[in-house]
Amino acid sequence: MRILVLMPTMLAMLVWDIPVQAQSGDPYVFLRNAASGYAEVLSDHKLEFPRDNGAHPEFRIEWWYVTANLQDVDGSHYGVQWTLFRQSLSPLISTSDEQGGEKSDWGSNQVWLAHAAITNEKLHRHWQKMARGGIGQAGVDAQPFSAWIDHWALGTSLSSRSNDLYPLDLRFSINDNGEYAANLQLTAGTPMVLNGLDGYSQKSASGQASYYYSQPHLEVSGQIVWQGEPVMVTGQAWLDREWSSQPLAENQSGWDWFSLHLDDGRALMLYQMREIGDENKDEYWVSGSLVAKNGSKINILQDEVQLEVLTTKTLDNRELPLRWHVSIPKYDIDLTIEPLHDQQFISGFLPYWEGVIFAFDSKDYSLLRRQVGRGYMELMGYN
Amino acid sequence: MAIILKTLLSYHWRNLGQSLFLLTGLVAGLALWVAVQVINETAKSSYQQASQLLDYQVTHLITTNLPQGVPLEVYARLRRAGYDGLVPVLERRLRDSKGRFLEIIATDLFALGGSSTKSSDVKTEDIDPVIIGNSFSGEAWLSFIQPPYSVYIPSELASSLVVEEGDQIVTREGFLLPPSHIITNQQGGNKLIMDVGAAMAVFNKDGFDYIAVTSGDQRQLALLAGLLDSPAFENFQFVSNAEALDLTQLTDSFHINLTAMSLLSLAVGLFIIYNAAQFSILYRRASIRTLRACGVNLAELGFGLAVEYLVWVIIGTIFGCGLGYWLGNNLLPSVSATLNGLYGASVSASAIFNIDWLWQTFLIAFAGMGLAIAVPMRSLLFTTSINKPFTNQDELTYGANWQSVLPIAILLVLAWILLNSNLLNQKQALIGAFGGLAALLLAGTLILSKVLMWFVWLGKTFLPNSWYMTRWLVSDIRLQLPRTRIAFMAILLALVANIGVNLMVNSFRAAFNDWIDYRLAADIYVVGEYDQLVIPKNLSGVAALSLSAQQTIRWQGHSISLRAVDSQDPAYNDIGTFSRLVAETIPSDSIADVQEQWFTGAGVFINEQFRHKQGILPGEQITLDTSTGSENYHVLATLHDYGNTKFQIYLPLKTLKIYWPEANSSGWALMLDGTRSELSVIEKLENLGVPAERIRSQSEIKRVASTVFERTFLITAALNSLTLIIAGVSMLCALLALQMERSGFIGNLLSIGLHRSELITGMFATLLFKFTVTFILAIPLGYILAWVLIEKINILSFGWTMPLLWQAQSIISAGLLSGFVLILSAIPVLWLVRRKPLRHWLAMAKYTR
Repeated sequence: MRILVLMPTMLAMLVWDIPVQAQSGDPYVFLRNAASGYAEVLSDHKLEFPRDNGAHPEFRIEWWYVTANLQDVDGSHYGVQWTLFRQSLSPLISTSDEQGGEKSDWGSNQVWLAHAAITNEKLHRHWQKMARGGIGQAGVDAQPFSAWIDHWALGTSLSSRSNDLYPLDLRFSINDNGEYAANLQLTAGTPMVLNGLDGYSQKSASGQASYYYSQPHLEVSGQIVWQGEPVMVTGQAWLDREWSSQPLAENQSGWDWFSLHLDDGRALMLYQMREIGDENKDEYWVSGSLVAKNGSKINILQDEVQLEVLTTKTLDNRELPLRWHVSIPKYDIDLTIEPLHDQQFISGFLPYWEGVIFAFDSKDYSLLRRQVGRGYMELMGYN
Repeated sequence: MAIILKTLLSYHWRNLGQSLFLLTGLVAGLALWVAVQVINETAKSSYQQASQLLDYQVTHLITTNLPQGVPLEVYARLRRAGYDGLVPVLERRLRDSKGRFLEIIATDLFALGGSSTKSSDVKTEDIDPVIIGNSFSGEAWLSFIQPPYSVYIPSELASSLVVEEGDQIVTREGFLLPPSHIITNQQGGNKLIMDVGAAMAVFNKDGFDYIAVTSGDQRQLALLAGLLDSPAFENFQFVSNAEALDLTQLTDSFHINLTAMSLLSLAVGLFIIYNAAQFSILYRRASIRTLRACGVNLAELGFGLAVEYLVWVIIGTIFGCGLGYWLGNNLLPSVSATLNGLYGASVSASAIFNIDWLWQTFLIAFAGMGLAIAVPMRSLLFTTSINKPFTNQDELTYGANWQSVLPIAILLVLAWILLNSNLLNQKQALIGAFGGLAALLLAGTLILSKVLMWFVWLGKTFLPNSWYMTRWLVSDIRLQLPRTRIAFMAILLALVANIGVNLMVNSFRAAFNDWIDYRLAADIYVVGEYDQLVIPKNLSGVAALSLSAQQTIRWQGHSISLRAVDSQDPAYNDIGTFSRLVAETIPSDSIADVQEQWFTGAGVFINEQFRHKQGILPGEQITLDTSTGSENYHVLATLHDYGNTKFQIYLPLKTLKIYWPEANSSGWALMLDGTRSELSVIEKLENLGVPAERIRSQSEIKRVASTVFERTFLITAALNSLTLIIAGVSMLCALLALQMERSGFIGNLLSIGLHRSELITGMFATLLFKFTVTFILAIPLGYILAWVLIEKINILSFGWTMPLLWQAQSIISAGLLSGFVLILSAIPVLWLVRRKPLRHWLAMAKYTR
């Protein structure tokens, strides 16, 4: 088994450009590397579609990210996560056509990584794939939209009208001592939500930022395969798109991120960047979006939110805050967040917790435990 | 009981020197056995690694008959269709300037490591900073995949190739490899690792050699096989990976060979144990008698001796394993060189230790020592009774009675049967051949006593009475024989092994040199692809110019090299030269016909290893995949191809170009007309733009080939010497035992006035006489051994045939070496006779009575 471990580990170091000396210390250091030479994230930049659905190889890092909360006919809960990461290993843009990967360029400076996970009420299964850029094994086409790595793919369905992004098909399959697969169709009736200022999402006071847009109102139907058994499912999904050249400031250790579908039809995205302030004091950069049923968005400001860790749990030698209290009184939001189950840690070379969460009404939590929403939580940068 | 044990063991305390001999015999025999196990297992582990793609087991290959190789589009299409576990591979087996094989494996590390890995299998604490080096980052990856690229060389291999960071290796084929990057992990075994994209650029290829299938999932394999069988993939084949099997099969015979040599050493080691045990038992006769007189019964005495025996076995096992491991570790570089020379196989220089060897060694020591001491122990227990005086029950008789001749006859018949039997497969035939050799050698050792006694009889019968000294010495030989015959048997074995192996190696060397003279008939070679270079046909000083090309294809899962030359190549167009390359006897008037048929494309030649390993005979047909589909080829003849373990097919250049248009050209051969010197032609070539590193003179190639040849037999020479040393120790033990037993006799001879120098001369003369007889007997036995090695074992092992040459030099050098060892072992014994006073000999006698 160790032999099998070595190669992905080695590749992990390549993909994320992590100096080996930093491995045992901080695997997230590359997220803080200076953006020099790479394209900058500018506050006055206007996102354009469908072009910006595609890849941006001039930026260091980028991802296409789907999470879904699903139920089968018996009401059993499942979670699905699929993420395609792209990283540029040098500021020089490769000569190859990274969008389509049609031209072969074995010397491409682009590398791709994908994570897929399926969770049921008891277990969490997750896998990863890696590929070099430039040879067509992985890539993203903007129009018609297609993001793929081998046979794992997220792309506009063939049934779509020519210029529409939706419906999207999400497909991946794994044979891992029993078959696991997802074959889901995602539709949306509302426009993309441009987070922050028209998609310019600031991450720190010193100016770190990303381009960030989401589609929180995705309706899902389709089939997953769990341990070889096909299960018809329906539910809600969330699509995130983000790219940057330096997402973290030097004094930031990581982030806590939440995406929630509330029962009243609203969708809430919140993140807090954890940083060490003056006199080694823990400080946070908090931001978010509250999206109404019709797709209209309100920016959540730092002083409007209270984020409080209720309990922590040690997983994979990391102390992780798995239960939270989220309060935004201005918008009548007072939630207690709990994971579907604790073990949703992705213990790869770039370890992070990414899993299904339930939101309960905090007002009568201890008495009724009234569930008022569900979503995904991401805890990144915990050592 | 404790007192009995104390009494028995006290001997060893008092006589540490003698105990050391017993231990030496045991440890020496066991150590060689363990050393060979170390070598065999390390080599097998390296083969296992070689059969994998950087630690990933390759079950199947997707190959193609398309000229450019497997296109990237097909690979990407298959991966996008869900077949992960597919990895593109480009392999090259080149040689460096010193003729050493360079195995280059080029692949896509991302494809290899990034196929649906379960993320939970990857843990940060598993990250090993020495995987690839200390600074493997995105930057390193880019330098790996972008010009000027880099080639990763495991540190062990780098030091053996004397390559340092940043060095660029120039291969004999004319390729300039990218700058070297030394890596500390051994994940690639002993292979040079390149990125597949980089390799395609360096080796000027548009596609891969094959796609390796690393997935073991049967369902996916079945689906993939079905898909590749469809018309959409008509140019692609899905074949199982026979490479691992090839290497294992190829080297199997070598390892059986080594094991046989280790068993020979073990046998010689047992002779030492026998002699040393006899020695210690002789010395303790008086103690044993005293113990028996004190009321110790036979059972108690037997138990005490058994405990002592067990202690020896345990000590021998520990030291044998320790020394064996050390020896194996030190012999590994020689073995590695041998295996590289013979098979191009790379063996790690780091020895493996298997804990199982401890108990296996214990069992061998237990059985071996039991066998060696059974007779002396029996003699000690049953003849050293209180009243019964010692008699020499071993005294030999003259003549041939049926009880003594029968075992010899049985062994000879057994040897004949085993050497001539057609066993089921090559491995069994090989083991059978070694079994036959063992029986023959054992029969030889038994004949030795008979021959010696026959000479004694001759002496007694025909020597005149006036030659009293000589007659006495002849009689004395008869008396000494029971104690020394085992040691001479050991010397005989070592001598036979030395003579036989020397004859074989020298015959091989002669055949190899002869063959290479004909094979390299041109004066200058320009290696590498010639599409970028042009050499004018009328270059002054050059009489003829010949082109050659090479292509590797798959045949029944095996990798086969196609080698093609044009009609100008003197090795193939000159009848005299060509007839020396042909392995079988073809009537001289048919040679020209065979040649003509070949040049017209009516058939092909195969190398003799192909013939012997795959059982393909001249006159039969083989079917090969070509770019135009399957084609049948008539086998016209088999050619000698020493030093090559790969199957090779020879065909005219035009045939290769028609059916394998993608074939790589491998260079030119230039025949000089004598009007210009070799140097001036080389200079002209350089002026034409031919890189100097691609130009080889015939003498340079021969020198490299000869170096490789000599390196190949390093391990044989090392094991031979070790066996001889063990035989020498055995002789020393035997002589000491003999002297101990005869101390009273020596004392008496000195008492009656025999001069010490006369006694020493007599003792040395008898020793020399016995050695001479042993040596004379070793000559025919050595010749038979060489014959079996060449006619049976070499063909089964390598598929190479060659004539056995009678060389007096091999025999004389083996005799001189063994004689030297004998003299060395006799010096301490004779020195004792010279130095020790008479009272010493008389006092010693009481212990052995």
